[in-house]
Amino acid sequence: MLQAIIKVTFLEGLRNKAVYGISLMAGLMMIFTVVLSGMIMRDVGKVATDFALSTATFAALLVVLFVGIIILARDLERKTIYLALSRSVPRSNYLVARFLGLGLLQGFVMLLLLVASLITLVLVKNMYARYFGAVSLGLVAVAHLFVFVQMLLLTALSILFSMVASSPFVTFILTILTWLIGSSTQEVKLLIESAGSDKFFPVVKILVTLAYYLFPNFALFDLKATAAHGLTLHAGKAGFALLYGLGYSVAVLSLALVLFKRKELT
Amino acid sequence: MRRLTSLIPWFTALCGTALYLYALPLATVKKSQQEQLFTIPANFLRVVSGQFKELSADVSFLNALTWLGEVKTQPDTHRYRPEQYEWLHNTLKNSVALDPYFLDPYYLMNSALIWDRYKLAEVNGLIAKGADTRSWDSMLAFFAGFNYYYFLDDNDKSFSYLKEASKRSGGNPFYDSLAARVAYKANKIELAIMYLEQQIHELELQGLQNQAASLQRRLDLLKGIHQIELAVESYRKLFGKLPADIHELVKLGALVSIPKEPNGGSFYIDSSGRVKSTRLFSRICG
Repeated sequence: MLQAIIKVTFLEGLRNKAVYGISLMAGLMMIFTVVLSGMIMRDVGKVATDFALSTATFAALLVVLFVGIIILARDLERKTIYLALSRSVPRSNYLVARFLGLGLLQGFVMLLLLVASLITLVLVKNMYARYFGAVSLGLVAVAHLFVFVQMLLLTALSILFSMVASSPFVTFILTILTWLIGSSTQEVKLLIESAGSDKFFPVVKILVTLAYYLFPNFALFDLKATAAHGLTLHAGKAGFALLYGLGYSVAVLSLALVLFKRKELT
Repeated sequence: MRRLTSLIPWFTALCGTALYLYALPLATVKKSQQEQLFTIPANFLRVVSGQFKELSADVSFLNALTWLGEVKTQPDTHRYRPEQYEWLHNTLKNSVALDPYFLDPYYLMNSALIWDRYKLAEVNGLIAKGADTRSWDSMLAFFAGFNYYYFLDDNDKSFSYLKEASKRSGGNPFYDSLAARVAYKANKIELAIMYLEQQIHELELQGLQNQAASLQRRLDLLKGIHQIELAVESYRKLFGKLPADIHELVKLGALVSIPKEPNGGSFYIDSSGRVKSTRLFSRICG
């Protein structure tokens, strides 16, 4: 039954028209990247990599926001959840299967985005071989993996928010706010630490520190600069980021399970 | 209709997200119709760009580049108005603040700001910082070294960056000769000799005998100059004036013999007491 729910979630996601729209947007951005590369002076490979990876991140984010959230919301709204629960599927199994199905969908989308990114970059490399720089296609692939782990975590968070939010729109807002804050807290913390002690009120420092530890640090999964400049990716840091992402996802999903068990389905 | 209305918040949210992620970087540099140029502070941009910092750096740079392509040149000696220089400077500074590894903004700073002598110390400081960040890049180290020497008269820093450029380029003789030249101009001839000896040693180890031979001539030249300058200094201390020529030093025994000029020219003492070569002074040391 678990496998069936995973499969249904994956197929339901693929059938969602938003996926086609997002794919079209990503495809157009990749074509734009090739066109744009001709305008760059020397660091052509770097700019092409930035655009390709930013497109991949943005598209993956849209999949979480406009496909993942909707699938779960529809289940509750249209009461289709009873189809599974009435067949004596434990609530926990149902939610985990939904998460895995969404993860599978996200993985499939990331694979497509990786292929599109690599085609774009190979094309740019052939056109401007002299100015392609130290871009590492291997690291571009690793960067996509990190985006995937990041989006798994965000999916887990969106599931958690859907357990407490009154409507899918509130879930959407909470998810995107968490992503925006989680992507910036590291930068804000660094900024405050590097500024003089008298520049910020102590309460601001406390709030920033609190946000830094409360929200997931999504900046850990951002490997754009590393891939674009062919910088060294330290195995320890990379391993930590992956474990952090997966560990955080499991913790968030566990909390969502607890809430889901207590949720009244009317 | 109800279905359509229910889509409005989603549509608004989608547009808002797209606007935030893609259009915001465009606002990093904004030019109004009246050319009231302003830029958003780099720190603020770093925070709001989140995971799209690099993209924002690219957009800032492209904005500066396209603006440079569009702007009309001014009839005076400087190409742009002061506020235009300021805007260009801030935009490129934002670009490197968002992505310190990005080469193109540094390159543009060097060609559009440094050569127009705009905020030389600050702009070259950014280029030098870029050279430190891009620890593999010989070009930025060369730019920084050259600017310190030519525009800012800071021979110590110039020598240091040119030496670094040479090291990063795998011993490019062009950087080597520039570094030696800077060291000579700074009256640090001993430093130049040491530097060339080290470079020759490294080239020989790499089996690059031709390049080593070329540097050896330069080294012999500097050693000859150094030897004569020491004798001139002794003469000055003894007699309180400069010698009439190098032969006088030989006559007095301050020099055993006149060193051979390796490039076929001859050494002479100028009016300030510095030793130069008739053949290569203007090319190497001038």
